[in-house]
Amino acid sequence: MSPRRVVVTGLGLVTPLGDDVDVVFDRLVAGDVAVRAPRRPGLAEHAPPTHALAELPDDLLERLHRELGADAGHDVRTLAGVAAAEQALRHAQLDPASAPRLGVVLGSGPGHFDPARLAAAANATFDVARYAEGLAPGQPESLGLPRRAEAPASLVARRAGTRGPVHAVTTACAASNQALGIAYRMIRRGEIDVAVAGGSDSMVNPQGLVFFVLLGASAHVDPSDPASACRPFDRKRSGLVMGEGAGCAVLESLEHARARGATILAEVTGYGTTLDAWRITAPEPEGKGAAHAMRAALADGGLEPGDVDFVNAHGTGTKRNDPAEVHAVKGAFGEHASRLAVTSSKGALGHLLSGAAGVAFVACVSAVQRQAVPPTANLADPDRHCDLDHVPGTGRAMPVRAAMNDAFAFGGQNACLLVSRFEEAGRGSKR
Amino acid sequence: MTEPLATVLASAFHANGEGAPAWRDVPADWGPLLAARGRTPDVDDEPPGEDDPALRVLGPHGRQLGAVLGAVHEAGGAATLDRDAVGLFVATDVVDPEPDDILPALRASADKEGGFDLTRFFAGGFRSLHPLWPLAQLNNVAVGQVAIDLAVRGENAVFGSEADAGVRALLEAAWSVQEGHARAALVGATAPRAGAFAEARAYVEGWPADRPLGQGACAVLLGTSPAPRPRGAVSILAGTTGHGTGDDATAWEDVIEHALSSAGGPTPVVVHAPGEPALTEALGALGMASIERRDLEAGVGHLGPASALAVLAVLDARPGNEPAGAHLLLVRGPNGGRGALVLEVA
Repeated sequence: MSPRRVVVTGLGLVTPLGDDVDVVFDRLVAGDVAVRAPRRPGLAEHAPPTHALAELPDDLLERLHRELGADAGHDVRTLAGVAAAEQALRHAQLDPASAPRLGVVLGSGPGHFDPARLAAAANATFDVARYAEGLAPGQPESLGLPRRAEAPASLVARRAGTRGPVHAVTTACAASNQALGIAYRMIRRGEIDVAVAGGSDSMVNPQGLVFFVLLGASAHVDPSDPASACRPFDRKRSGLVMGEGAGCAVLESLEHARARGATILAEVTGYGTTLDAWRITAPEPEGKGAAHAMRAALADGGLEPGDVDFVNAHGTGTKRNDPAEVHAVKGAFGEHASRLAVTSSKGALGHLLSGAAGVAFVACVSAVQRQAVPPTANLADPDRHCDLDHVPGTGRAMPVRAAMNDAFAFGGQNACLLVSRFEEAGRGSKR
Repeated sequence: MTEPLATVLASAFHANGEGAPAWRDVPADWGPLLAARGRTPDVDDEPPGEDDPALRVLGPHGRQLGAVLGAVHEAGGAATLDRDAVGLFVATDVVDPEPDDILPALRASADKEGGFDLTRFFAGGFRSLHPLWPLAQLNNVAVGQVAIDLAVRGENAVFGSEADAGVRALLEAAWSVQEGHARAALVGATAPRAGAFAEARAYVEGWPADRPLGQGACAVLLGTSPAPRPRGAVSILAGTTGHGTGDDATAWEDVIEHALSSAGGPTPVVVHAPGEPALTEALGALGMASIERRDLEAGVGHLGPASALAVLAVLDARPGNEPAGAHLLLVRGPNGGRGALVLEVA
């Protein structure tokens, strides 16, 4: 029996550029940048060592708290993940009650501890009794410890009353792509018929704001121009800028979508994941592991390199990622690499970490629907080692038959997904 | 009965007894688990030195995980395969910070009254954290370090953090082998680490006091099923995961029925499952009340994501001693995640 075709029928976004899928894509294509100096109340006034961030807009965050705070608490990772997943379900016009074995697979970050709560228990030595004082059953935030990674996915399932698989994928910056890829495989082999998948993250918190500073991966920031801090593929790139938010999609079997009369937005046409097994904090410089993931995704879907027009790059703006990724694209796509548009949205949205690939996947679906690609923000002086068509300035209207979504993690996990224009005959499904 | 998705080629188990009193009272059925010394690698549980970044990013859970994955990698012959064709699928429990790692930064950020001062933390208190400390908080980094150590470069995923995460890791690995994406797949899982944070987390999550936490790490190497399968070989026929809330017998029924139907409907000869009333009710409703039941947790504590792998390791450790036929393996975590695997013992 042939594997089932898997289509996209709903999208949801919570990003620093807003939470309307079409508006966010329009703003990306127009070259808007959401990176600013930190402004989150309770953090910004304490002079964090991270000087540029892509934070969720205040009004959006207030709305998420108002609508979901009773269930999700104050964990922005959970608020954003649940909001994006539920938005995708609404967009798909899918009543979860009609699909009780709906799967929920979300990439999720490690969460964060509350230093004030833990400090209250810290004396000369860690005092377990003091720590345990005041803990309230059923209120995980009273711990001061990170919420479990599956908090967003579990809450989506509980609020929707679903009984299907519920999982958190915890491969950091590759997590959302792996979550989407795993959901795609679960549907393709018939374990479930429909899933909401993607991911969310936020590190706009005391722990997160020192995380990449300690690792030396934060971008150098010109205080007069924080918006230019993240410069993927640029000669002057100096590191990443953190973002926060979520991106999710409803995936379902073609038969399931047709049976309920769903609008089909695109088709998922391949997934590949590999390990670099090279260094924890640096990609293999020739991009071998990433290229292997790209080739695996192409082979998985039966696509040729020439079938793809757009690569939504991982493009972190770090010294090592960007040239390694360009090497990988050249290795996987061969001569066709020079004909691809290869852009990164991290200059505009920051790096949404475990949510990054979810947002990028939504952008890929929008690209094949709208036949346009976003630019690489802040790309003014291309690195000579990053010599593909990285689309500086503003976006471009162009034919996009298929798009590849790249995601690579600290630790060496690589994950690539392919999404194609939906065609009844299944051009994108030569399996 | 369907053909297996994949077969256990090797297994390993590490139990760190210190601080886990439940390990002292292992039922006779599970004794071979601890007696299988050839499959219980030593783990250096000493804090790593400042000059050993690989050990530091692994963290305690990662060092256990690395030891068991290394053991099955070696025992199962995965090292002889094309490394691009060896998968690595892992389930980890939540990675809580180690108190000793963060206390210096908290103290360096204290105000005059000893309270936490965020301005002081941002101004430099955070520099008392080790520069690699952030990496140790990421579940996937320990897995990446294991991949480096074993030179494994194939399909992969890391799931967190409940018991069903271990079932999902096993299923994705088995499917990766069955669909030809990987020639063999390493699967590992770590169990909750006993200690203040784990106990506090269990308390606030409402984990039953009569289901003590265990700790340790388990790993299996999955590969294509040999034909004929040797007596005692453990294979995965099918499985699934599902979600319910609280003591939800219906959610158990959904998961069990789905797993058994996917496997072609074999009647299990043993059910490996925790002894909770809702599950007893579900098994009764499904006409499975009379089937022999074994409860790993009664002896070794709740092993979280490692629960399912522990059962596979036990079955694999005693070839020929377990009844041949289908075994049904069921796990549940504190937030409603349920997992079911249909195993075949040849």
